[in-house]
Amino acid sequence: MTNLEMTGGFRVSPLTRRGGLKGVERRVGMLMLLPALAAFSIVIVYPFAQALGLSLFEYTLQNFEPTFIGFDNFRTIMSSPEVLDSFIVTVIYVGCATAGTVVLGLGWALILNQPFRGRGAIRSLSLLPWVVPSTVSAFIWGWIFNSRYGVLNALLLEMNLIDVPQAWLSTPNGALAAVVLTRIWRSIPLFMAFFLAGLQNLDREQIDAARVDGAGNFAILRDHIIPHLRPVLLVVVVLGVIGGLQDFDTIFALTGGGPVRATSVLSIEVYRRAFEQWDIGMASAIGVLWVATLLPPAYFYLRMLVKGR
Amino acid sequence: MNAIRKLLRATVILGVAISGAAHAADTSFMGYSYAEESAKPSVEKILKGFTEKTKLSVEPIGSAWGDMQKNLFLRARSKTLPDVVQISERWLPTFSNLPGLVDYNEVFGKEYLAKTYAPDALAMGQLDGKQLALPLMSGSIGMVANTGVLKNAGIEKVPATIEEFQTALAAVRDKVPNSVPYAMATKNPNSILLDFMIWNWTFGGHIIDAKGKVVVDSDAGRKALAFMVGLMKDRLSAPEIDRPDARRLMGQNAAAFYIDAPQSRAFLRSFSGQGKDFDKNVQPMGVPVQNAGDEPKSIQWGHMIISFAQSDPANKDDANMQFVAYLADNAVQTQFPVEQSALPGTVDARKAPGIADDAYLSDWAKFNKSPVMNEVGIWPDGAELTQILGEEVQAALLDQKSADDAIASMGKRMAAVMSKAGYSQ
Amino acid sequence: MFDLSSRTAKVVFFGTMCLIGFYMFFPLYWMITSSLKDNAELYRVVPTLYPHEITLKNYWTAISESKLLTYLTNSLITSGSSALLNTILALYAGFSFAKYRYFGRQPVMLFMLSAQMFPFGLLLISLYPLMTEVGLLDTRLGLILSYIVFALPVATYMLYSYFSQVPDELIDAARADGASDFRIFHTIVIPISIPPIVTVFLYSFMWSWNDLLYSMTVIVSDEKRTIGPGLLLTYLNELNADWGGAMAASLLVSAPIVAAFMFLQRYFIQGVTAGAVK
Repeated sequence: MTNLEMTGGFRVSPLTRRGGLKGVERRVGMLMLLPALAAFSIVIVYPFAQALGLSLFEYTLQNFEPTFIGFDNFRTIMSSPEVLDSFIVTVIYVGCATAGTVVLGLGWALILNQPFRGRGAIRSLSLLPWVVPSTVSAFIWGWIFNSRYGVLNALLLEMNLIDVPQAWLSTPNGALAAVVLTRIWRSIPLFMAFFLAGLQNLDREQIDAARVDGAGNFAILRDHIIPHLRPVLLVVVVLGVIGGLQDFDTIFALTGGGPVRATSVLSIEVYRRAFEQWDIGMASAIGVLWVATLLPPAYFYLRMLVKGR
Repeated sequence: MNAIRKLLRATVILGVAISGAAHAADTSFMGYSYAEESAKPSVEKILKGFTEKTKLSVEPIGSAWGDMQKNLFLRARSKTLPDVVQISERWLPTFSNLPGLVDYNEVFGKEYLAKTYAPDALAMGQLDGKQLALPLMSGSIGMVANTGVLKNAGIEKVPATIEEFQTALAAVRDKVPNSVPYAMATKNPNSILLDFMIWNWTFGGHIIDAKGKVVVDSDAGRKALAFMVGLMKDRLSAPEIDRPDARRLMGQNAAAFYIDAPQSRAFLRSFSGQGKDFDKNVQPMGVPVQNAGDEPKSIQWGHMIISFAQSDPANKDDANMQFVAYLADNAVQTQFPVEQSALPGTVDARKAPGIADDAYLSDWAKFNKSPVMNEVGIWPDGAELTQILGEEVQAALLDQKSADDAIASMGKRMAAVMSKAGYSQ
Repeated sequence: MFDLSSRTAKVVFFGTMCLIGFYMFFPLYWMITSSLKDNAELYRVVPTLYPHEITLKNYWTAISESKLLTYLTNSLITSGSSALLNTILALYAGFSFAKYRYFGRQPVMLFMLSAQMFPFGLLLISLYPLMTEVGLLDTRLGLILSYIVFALPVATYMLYSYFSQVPDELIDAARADGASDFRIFHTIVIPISIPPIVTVFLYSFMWSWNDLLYSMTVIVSDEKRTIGPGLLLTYLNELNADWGGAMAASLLVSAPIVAAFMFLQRYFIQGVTAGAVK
């Protein structure tokens, strides 16, 4: 399939445009879409529409029947710095995690693209962090960062970088760094696989030619490899952002959103409001606000992606 | 949306075919003990005993302690409430307006209940003149000392005042390497709440008064939090400690004090790996007081049983009421609480041999004579209040804010929640 | 690709390799090591870099005393079925998007993709009562169906992206022979699409496999619990903090899926390369 260059583009088979069968074909096409569309409507569109409505209601433990309160929930959000902080934490978390994964995933892919002995084995093993359940990765990293028995403290003490053991997960920056590191660790493999795939059809001759012209490793990376990987990069960023935004399990298992609110990203905040504090209206409002902030840029980005730029 | 529902129903028929139809039992019992590996056999024994005695079957539903509230409310929404539920005493007010909750006074009669259950335990289930919960086991949340560690630090006497407490802590810090002298809760809001509440009381403060007014922003509140912050600064307590961590430290002889329920002994037996041999180190004590002779503070604690009516009105002969009555039977009460290292809820069982002469349990009762009801967990928005309190206390303990700022902000945020719930501030 | 003949290039290359390699593999090594230590060696302020006395006690306890195997089976059932369901739905939808033209096709696809950013927790709020109403609460089927949320849009996009590259001539030729579109899809297109199908299956599988949020909420009974909440509730909860056990259990639950993955990873990489994502 590699000769089918990744030209991208929202191409449509030319045969669909050919006269007579068109009507029949169109129906077949829609028929094929139907099951997915039905499932999508039931599990995503309908619940979302309902949540949209619920965000205008006061719906808590005490009142089993929701009462309409207009935009009060949104007003409460706007006046509570705690919730607004969650937006900031989310941006930092998703931003750092995605950027970190792109850099390290690309780096690792480039390394594993270079021929050396044992490369195949390392490639296979590299998928492991992605394959272990997220709770397990939270366990592993929680254990590494443990203030009392953690190996990180032991290493840093040994290297004389710190004098006393640090409670990493109890400092805002430490905890945020821990969840970001865990997230990056988990997503490197997937990104690596995508980058490796992209590297498969890199034009070798072009690179060789550039080398003859005196281009160094860095120039080749900058002028040839990265531009070539641009389409992959675009997809990978979408996947990274989706994964980061939706990430709940690692953070919940590692820090539970704490200490204080240092790692309370929106997914944690929505869960806590809805399923711990039973303020369904508020939880919906926060979720809706999240979608409202995200949807416009997401839509344009995705359109660019789908249209093949 | 009808089309969607129809579609889903069709799918469900398939699903039922796959998963096998639910088998019907006479009554259902949802509880967290059943979800705990260590307590599960004890619960199974109770169910078996009940079935043997009455020929009625009980379907057990396990739900982890941390998930209980969530699951119960979700079931209430979906009208699939279980018939009998084991709850923590502090959840009762939150559950009190669930539909179909049984007032036991109307089923068993006040007199019978007063005769059967110990008054302190029974009181935990009362709300607005109704008996909405009955005690399965009772006790209080107080302080436990590890006398082995104290001895290693050269302390012979369990401290009674805060001053003695601080001396003991410093001795442990200096003489027991890598120890956390007082394994104060510093991680999980649910646990932080208990430690803070007890110290706040000890310094003479309250968090929320009986009418629902937030009163934590006071001299006593500031003093209590400053005291806790001081412990952290002096390395007498440590960050990142939750109840399980505290139990681990105690069990490893690396902590001298922590706050827990009487079940502590059972936990420490398992965490130390020494079983009953470790009991000699475990000593209940009064939470240290400001002036010698003051009454040590402790928090009410118990496992309670609530029920949802199976017939209207609930009747003694309903399967779930028979089960509730059976839970007060000596067969249950002299076994289950003891296995969990707690006091039985009934008068009879408390007099039974093996319970009346258990030194640990009687010490526990002696040091925690007048436990007080949890001031925060009982409000409808208890989860949110607990979260706020936990966040603010933690922020002070971790040195992100001053104790005064944290108390002020805690008061403000909690007052906002309470006033939203309709309590004037 | 890179010219590693110069000394600097070598140092930079192998230096980076060691750093990233350490980051990726040390945690796994640490998990294995910790699972083999007994409590006395595990809970030490200065840890030993390898177990001085190897014990299998943690494994034994995890297998005999916990419900690990039940959780694992549940996870495999729910993640496997939902990934299968997702892949089938996405196959048809992806093919439809790639090879047919009809009104609203592109907006629908864009909307589906954007919907992948709707907070899962938010959807759960309304999915929950819906599931209750039709009796799917606390059932594996309920979990399987709700897992569609996680990956259907991206899975559809991946397959769309791949099918766009399948030459139309292939379909044309078959059509000229009088084969129906479904027949063409089933007998000609699907057989040449195995690697991307595997990729999409695994992608969907991993989402459900990692799930904590839905499983924690939808599933109440212990015997239907999946590994995410199962591990959390067994090893690090209100009552317990058993790190050694957690590490052993982690290793055990990861083992089957790691084994399967080692077998399938060739297809996975092929699938990605074939343009399941471009």
